[in-house]
Amino acid sequence: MTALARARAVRATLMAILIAQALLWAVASAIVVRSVLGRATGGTAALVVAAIIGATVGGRLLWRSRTIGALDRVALWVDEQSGASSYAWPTALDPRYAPTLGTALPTIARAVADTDAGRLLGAAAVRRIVPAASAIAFALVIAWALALRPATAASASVDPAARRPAPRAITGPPASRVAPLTVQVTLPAYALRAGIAPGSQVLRDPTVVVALVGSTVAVHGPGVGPGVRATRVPRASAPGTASMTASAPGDAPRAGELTATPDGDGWRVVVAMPTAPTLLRFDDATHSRLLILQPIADAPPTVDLLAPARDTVLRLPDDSGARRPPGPTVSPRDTMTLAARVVDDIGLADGGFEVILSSGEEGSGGVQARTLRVGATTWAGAPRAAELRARLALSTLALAPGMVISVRAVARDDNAISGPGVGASETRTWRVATRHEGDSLAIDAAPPPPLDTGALSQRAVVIATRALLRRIGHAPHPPRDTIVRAAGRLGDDERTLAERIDGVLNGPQSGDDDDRVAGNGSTLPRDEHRLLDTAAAALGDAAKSLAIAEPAAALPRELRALATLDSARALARRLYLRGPPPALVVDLARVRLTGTGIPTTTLTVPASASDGAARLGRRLGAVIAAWAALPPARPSAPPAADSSDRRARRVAVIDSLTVLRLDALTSNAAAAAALGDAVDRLQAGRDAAPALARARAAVPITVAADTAARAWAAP
Amino acid sequence: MGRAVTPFVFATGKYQSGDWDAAPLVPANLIDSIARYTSIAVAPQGVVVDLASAALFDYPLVYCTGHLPFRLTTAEATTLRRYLGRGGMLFVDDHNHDVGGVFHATATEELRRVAGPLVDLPNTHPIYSCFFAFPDGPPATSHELNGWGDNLVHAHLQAAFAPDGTVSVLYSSKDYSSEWGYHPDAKRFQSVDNTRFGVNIVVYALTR
Repeated sequence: MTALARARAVRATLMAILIAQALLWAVASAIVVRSVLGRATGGTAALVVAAIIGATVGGRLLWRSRTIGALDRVALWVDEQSGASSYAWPTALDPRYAPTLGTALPTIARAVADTDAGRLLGAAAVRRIVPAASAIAFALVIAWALALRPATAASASVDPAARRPAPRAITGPPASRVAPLTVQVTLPAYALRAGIAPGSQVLRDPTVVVALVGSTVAVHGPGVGPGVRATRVPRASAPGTASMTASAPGDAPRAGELTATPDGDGWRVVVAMPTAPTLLRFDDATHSRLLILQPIADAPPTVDLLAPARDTVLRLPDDSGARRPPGPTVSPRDTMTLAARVVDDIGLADGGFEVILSSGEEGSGGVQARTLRVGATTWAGAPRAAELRARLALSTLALAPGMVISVRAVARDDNAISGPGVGASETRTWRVATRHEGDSLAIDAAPPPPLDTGALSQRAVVIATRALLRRIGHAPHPPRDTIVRAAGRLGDDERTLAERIDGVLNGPQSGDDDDRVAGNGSTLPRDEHRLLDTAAAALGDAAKSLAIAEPAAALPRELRALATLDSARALARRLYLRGPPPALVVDLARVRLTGTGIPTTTLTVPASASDGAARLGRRLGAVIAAWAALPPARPSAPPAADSSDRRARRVAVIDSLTVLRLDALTSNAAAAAALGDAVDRLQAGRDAAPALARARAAVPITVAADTAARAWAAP
Repeated sequence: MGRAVTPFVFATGKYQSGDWDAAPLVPANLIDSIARYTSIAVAPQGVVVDLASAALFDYPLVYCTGHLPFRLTTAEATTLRRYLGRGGMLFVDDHNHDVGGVFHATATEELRRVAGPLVDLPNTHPIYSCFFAFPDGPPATSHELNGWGDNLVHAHLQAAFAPDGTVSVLYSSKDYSSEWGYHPDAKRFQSVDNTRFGVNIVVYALTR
């Protein structure tokens, strides 16, 4: 092989080594750049930047080695690397020296032939390739280390999630794997059976998911890798609600967590819509996302009882011939028509009528009862509205006086998740009259008649007069003035009694009965009237005697008046009627703390209100204060343009309002609606003041309870 | 800023079915006992409140009794459910003192529907010690001891609980409605006032 041919072979090998070196360094640098930038800026941008930097590095290395294409440079490289420094290779390849070499030519040719080019090329390959390969290994190590680090705004990743669009402000900075969320809601099977449409819907990045209890809620988030999981945690501050913490598939779930599963280029958590409002919290490192699950309860059926239309009293036929009070009389051969209209929000399953027959009363064997089911109906296809109809033969009821028939319609819906919901109509009551029911009246008890109270008062006056006479007859005798005052008081009493008797004699009612005294307004029988007239005259005489302080002369007249009053009472015809007891008004001042029982404690402070209204008000006040303290936003700037401090505080306010809304859902719907509006406004960068004002107005202002009664919010 | 003291008003629940007014003397008797033993500000007369009415929310404790079916209309059940959910307390007493009776069967079913399961209330519950001490649980009534009704001496009352653990519905099969159904002035004839447990119920309702 000639020197020229060998030089060309060495050049080709050297060029291959240099190209390989440049490629390896380019790849290494690209890996490093992609690792650093990928997690922060998204995949495409990082890839482009990495390719540019890799190409730059590789091109730079190739540019530096561009002179290797010249054979004289190759000859010099070989001469230098061989250590001979004889310039045999440059001399042999340069045609200018050929005519002058003469006898030296064989020596030069031998020196070229003796050069071990393979060894030199091998050493060069080691020097050039090994560092570059090491650089690739080092770059891979860096990329691996960066992949394990939590995502930050400044980091880079090759995560496919980086290709996702930027999340909304509530979910934190870009590259979050918990935003945007896509939620697919699918109704439970029984609602689909009932033909409720749409059976499934997809919500794009919602804040609240409102769906029927038992619906399947599939939450899909972007980005894969470790760190997303879900946990349900009861919320003590708002009984009936719960929160759920979520963070990325791959991590070992902690106790009670719902593990997110990989789903395409993201992750997926599937939950059933709970019966109580529930808060979902998704966490991905420094990113968080709140989502409220607001259930719609399947309402029980609404049942209207059409027939019987009203309560009534039935009367059984009486063959005794006794006079019966007016009212519908039924025969055991009659039938009772039962009808009801049933409506449900989803779908009906079955229904029927419930008949309770009760009889008897306390004190005479007790109340007995039995229950019948009539007109049981099962609906196919889960209709939303239906009618119930049945006929009840009274002969099957063995009706008896005093029996009470209570009828209501009952229907069940097709809810196989949280039900079935049971709806019932109002209860109609048919009562069978007792045999002697028409013989009595139920009226309020009247006060004692004047004759009774008059006789009692007259007896008291007689006793007082006798007592006065005893005082007069025994020493020491009372002074004359004392006797006059005491007798005068008794005389006044007698005069008052006489006026009351006169009121009885001349009452406001008039009577046409021949047996009664006509013309003076009295309805008293003639004998009774005469006695009362005599009593009134005796009372007047007694009053006159007492007025002049002669009790001894008054006493016989008093006794005559008392005797005639008693005679009149004996003649009075009385009806003792049993009606509702009078409304008792307790004399608190008389009985206050007169009890003799020994309590175990002294009642001091009543409990404070525990309906949550006060707590809701306090929490809302705190959130409004945090909202008012937000740094001012730049005019016309979108929320994404907020400073990091304002963004963090705004997200905190939004999260607080979201949680507050969750707690208000069960107790204050108006406040919850206003809070939801406030969240939407803050997310959109609009003024939340009107919505917060509405929320403030919807939460009743409460103070510490100092009332004897426990207080809670108005309905 | 303080709020004026509001007297406790004893409310009797009125429902459409059955005989809600079967024990008209009980309210006055318990009001008398509240005044007799405590310093609670109490109205001298009770009120009757419709279970379907929003007025129900004005009263912390509502008393219901009867012999006949206790069936709640949809409106009554809805209002009562909201009332109990907001901290109200319902005391229901079976005037039949009969666990096989129609009132017990219907009332327990309706109460489970609006308030959740009814369970035996332990005799160590604070309601038995919040004012007077009843170490053996609910005091027996003369109707139980005489063997009337279901011929049982019920060792426990039943209760449904609110989410915070307090009693929202107190159910009695002991017929306190008969035991306490007399004029308050007749207390002077008793060696031991048998309405003292009623005071505990009221005190518990106000301080739980």
